[in-house]
Amino acid sequence: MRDRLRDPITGLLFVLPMLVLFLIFRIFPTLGAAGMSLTNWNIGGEWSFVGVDNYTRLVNDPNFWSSLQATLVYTVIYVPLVMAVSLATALLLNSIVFLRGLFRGILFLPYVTSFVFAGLIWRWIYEFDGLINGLLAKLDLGPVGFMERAELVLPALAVVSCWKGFGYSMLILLAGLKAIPGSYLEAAKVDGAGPWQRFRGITLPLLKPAIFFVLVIETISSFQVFDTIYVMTGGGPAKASYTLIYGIFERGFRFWEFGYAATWGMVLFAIVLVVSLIQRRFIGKENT
Amino acid sequence: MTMTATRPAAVRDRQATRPRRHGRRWPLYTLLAVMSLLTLGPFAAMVVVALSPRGEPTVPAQWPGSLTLDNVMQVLRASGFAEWTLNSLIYSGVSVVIILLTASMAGYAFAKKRFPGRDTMLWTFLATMMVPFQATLIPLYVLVSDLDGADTFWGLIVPTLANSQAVFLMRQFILGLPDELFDAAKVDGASELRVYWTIVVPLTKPILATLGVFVFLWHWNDFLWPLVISQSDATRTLTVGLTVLKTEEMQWSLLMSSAAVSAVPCLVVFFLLQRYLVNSIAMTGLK
Amino acid sequence: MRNIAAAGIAVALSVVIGGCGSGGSGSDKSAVTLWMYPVISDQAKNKAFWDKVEKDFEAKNPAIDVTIDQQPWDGRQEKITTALASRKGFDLVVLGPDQIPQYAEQGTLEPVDDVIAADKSGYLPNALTALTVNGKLYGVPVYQTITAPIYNKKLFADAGVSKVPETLAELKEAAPKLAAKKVAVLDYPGKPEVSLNQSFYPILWANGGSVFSPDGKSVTVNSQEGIASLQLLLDLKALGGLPENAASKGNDIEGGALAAGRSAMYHAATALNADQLGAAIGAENVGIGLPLEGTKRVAFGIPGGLVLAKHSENKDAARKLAAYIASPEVAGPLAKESGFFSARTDVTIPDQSATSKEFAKSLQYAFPGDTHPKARQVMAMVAAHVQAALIGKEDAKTALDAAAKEGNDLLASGG
Repeated sequence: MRDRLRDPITGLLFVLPMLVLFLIFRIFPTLGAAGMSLTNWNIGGEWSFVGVDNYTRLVNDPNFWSSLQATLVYTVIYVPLVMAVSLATALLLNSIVFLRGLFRGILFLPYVTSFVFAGLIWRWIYEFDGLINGLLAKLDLGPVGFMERAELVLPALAVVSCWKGFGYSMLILLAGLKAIPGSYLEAAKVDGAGPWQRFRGITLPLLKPAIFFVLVIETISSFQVFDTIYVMTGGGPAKASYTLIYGIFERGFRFWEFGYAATWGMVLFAIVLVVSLIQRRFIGKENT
Repeated sequence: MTMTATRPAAVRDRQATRPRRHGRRWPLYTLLAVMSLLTLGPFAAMVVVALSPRGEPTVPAQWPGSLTLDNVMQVLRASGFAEWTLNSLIYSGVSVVIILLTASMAGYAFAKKRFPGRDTMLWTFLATMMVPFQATLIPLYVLVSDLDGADTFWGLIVPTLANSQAVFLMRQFILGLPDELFDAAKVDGASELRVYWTIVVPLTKPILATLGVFVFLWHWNDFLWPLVISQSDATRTLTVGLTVLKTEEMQWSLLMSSAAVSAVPCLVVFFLLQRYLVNSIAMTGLK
Repeated sequence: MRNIAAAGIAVALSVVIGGCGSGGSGSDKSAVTLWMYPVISDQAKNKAFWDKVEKDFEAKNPAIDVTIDQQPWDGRQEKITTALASRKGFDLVVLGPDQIPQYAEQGTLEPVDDVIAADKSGYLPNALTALTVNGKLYGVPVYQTITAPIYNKKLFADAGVSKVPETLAELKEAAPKLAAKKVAVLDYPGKPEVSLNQSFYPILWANGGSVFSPDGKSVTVNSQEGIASLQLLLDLKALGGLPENAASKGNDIEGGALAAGRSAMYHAATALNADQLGAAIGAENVGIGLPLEGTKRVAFGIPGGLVLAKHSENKDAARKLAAYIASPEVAGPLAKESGFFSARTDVTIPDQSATSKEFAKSLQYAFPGDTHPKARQVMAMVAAHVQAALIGKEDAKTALDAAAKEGNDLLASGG
C-alpha cells in the first residue's frame, strides 16, 4: 500500500495484451453481429437497416420457440449430468495414489477425440441392433429407438456430450482439489470428522471457485451444443433436437439469411448471459 | 517462503495419504476400471476400424478377417501431410505459449489487482464467450481478410488468442493463492514482473499445465476457423487437411485412420505434461 | 462504415504486428484462383490431375497465373459463403444447381453464357438448364452426376423374388417377402442431413409430383402424388419394408444396413456407392437398375458447374480457364478419373468401368431437382415432416400439408 497508483497501473498493464486482442477480435466482431441483426443483410451486396424487424420476426417464429425449448431441456439434463460425473471422477482420482496418472489419462481420452468419432461410436451404441438394445434384449425389453423418439433424443445426446466432454471438467476440478492444503483435511480428521463431513465442511467450500468455473463453462457449452447434434441427428427426429445454435447455423450458412441468423445469435447471447449471472448470484459473489 | 511453497510433491502426497490403506480402496478401483472400459472401448474400436481393410465388414458387425496398415499409410502419405502437421504444430504451439503468458498475466491482474473497470472488463471478456461463433464468423472473417490476414499465419493464429476461458480459468485459480505471499514479496521490494515470474508462475504450474493441454487440444482440433481462413496448403492445418482426403462417400476405415493419426500428437502432449498435472499447487506449508 | 473501422484497426494492428502481413506478388500476370473439391476419390490422383490441368493451361496462356486449391467437402457451405460475403478467396469454384439460384439471385455470381456460346450443342441440354437462372447461365458444366437404384440380388433371390423391383408397385409387392426373411426391401435414409434428393424426392418425382408449382410461386409437395409417395413409404414401413431406424439413418454404405445384408436396395445410389457395396457383399451380388418407375422414371443427377464470382478481378482469364476445363481435352479424362460422367455429348470416356456404364444408362432420366431460390429452406421443412411421419407422429396428409403450409408462408413472406 506504499504506492496507491502501483496496483491500478500494473493491473492495467498486465491485462493490456489480452485487452487489445479482445477489443479487436472478439468485441468488434460481436458488435458487427449485433449490427447485422438490425439489417436484412445476406451474402449479396444490397442491404438496408430494418430496425427491430428481425426481432419481431423471431418472436413470431415457432421454430425459435421450439428450439429454445429443446436447448433448455438439453441444458437441464446435460449440466447436472456432466457436473456430477466430472466431480465424482475427480474425487475418485484424488483419493487414490496408485495408478492415478494412468486412470486420469484413460478417462481423459474421449476429450481428445473428434466429434465425428464420438457421434459414430454412439450411433453404434444406440442403434436398434446396438450395444444398449442388445443388453435390453437380454432382459426381454426393447428395442428402443433412441434417435427416433422425440422424448429420448435429447437425453441420449446429453449422454454423448457428457462422455465426450467430462474429461475437461474433471481435470479442472482435480486441479482445484489439489489446491486444497492436505493439512486442513488432516486436521479435520484428527478432530474426528468423517469423510462426508470433511467433504461438506472443507473440500466443497474450498472447491467453489473451480466449481463455479466449470458450471459456467459447461452451461455455455450446453447452450452452444452443435457438433454432437450435427453428426448424430441433424436436428431430428421431427426437430426434437433442433437447438438454437443449430438454427443459427441453418439460417446463416444454409439459407444465407445472415441478418436473421445474427438475431438468433444475439438472443442466445442474452439468454446465456442471464443464466450465468443467476448462477453467479446463486454460488455467491465471494467465490466468483 | 517460496522455499516451503515449492516443496517436492512426492513428500506432500505421502503425507496426505499415509494413513490410508490400499486394501480399503478396491471399490474405488473397481469403479474406475469400469469407467475406463467405457472410454477405452470406443478407442479400441477406432483402432480396429482404422486397421481394417477398406470396404470389408469390420466391428461392430464382425471381427475383420485381417488387419492392415494400408489406411494409416495412406493418411501418412497424403501429399501435404508433413506441411499440414508442421502448420498445426505452429498453430497450436505458438498459441499455447502466448495464451499461457497473456492469460496468466491477465488472470493475475483480475484476481489480485484493483483497477478501475476491473469487474466490468472481466465480465465483458466472459460475455464474449457466450456469443455463438457461428454468428460472429462472418464479421471476424471480413475483418481479418481486410487486414490481409487470409491465408497467413498471423491471420490464423492471432484472432484465436483472445481466449476468455483461459483468462477466467487462471483468474479463478490465482484467486485461491493467499494474499500474504504477494504482500511479503512487495515488502521485499520485488518488482511486479518479478512477483509474477517468481510467485505466480511457479505456484500455478499445475493449472498452467492443464490449460496448456487444453489450448493445444482446442487449436489442434479446431476446424471452422482454420477452414475458412486458410486457402492453400501453405497455412492449412492437419485437421482441415485430413478432411480433404474424404470423398463424398463415407469410408470408415480411412476416416478412423485420420482420427487416430491426428489424435497421436494430442496424446503425446498430454503425457508429456502429465507430470506437472501430478503436482499440486504447492502451498501446504502456508497457514 | 465497416471498411473505415477495419482500416482504423489495420493501422493499429500494423503497429503491433509489424510487417507480418504478406504483400502483393507484384507481377503483371493475371492471377486466377480455382477452388476444386476432391471429385477424384484418390487424393494423390486428384492432385496429379489438377496439377496437370494447371500446368497445361499455363503453358498455353503464359500471361495467366493459375492456382488450383483443393478444398474439403466438410464445411463447404461455410467456406464458400464467407468467401462470397467478404468478396475474397476464389475466382472460380465448383457448385451444384441446388446452390446456384440463391447465390445468383443475391448478385454474387457472374453469368458465363459467353464461355459456352461457341459450342453450346456439345453439352447435355439437361446440364445447361440446371445451371441456368432467369435465362442466364451461371455455371460452366464440367461433369455430371447420376443416381440409380442398386440391389443386393442375392437377398431378393433368397426371398423368392426372381426379378428385382423396377417399379414402385413391384417394390411394395416385394416388401413382405423380404420382411419374412428379416430384410428391409428399401434402405431409406431419413436423417435430416441426407438431402431429400437422395431419399424422398425421387419417389415424389417418379409419381409425377413436384415440390414447387411450375411458376415457382407455391409449394405443391402435398399434392395427390406427394401424399401417395409418402403413403408408399409408410406402407412399406408397416410391411417391414424399411429398416427400423429408417427415420434417423444416413445413406452411408460402409457400416450401413445394406452392406450388412439387412436391407436389399437403395433407390438413389451413386456409382461409388455401388462399388462400396460390391466390396462388402461381393461385386457379383450387386445389381444396378434404371430409376424406379411410377408414372415415369426420374433420376436425381446434377452437373457440377464452374461458377465465376462477381468479385473476381480477372474475369477474362477466369473464363478462359473455365472454358479449358470444360473442353473435351479435360472433361473426358476427368469423367474417367472421377467416376462421374461428362456433361458433354461429344466426349468419349476412355476405359469406363462396368459400374459406370450401367449408371450411364440412367443419364437420359437425369433431373437436377427443383431449382428454386428457396429450395433448401423448403427441403428442410419437408424433411422434418417426412421424418415426423416415419416415426408415426403424423400421417402422410397431415405431414405434407403442414410442410406445404410452412413453405407457402415462407414464399409469401418474400423472406
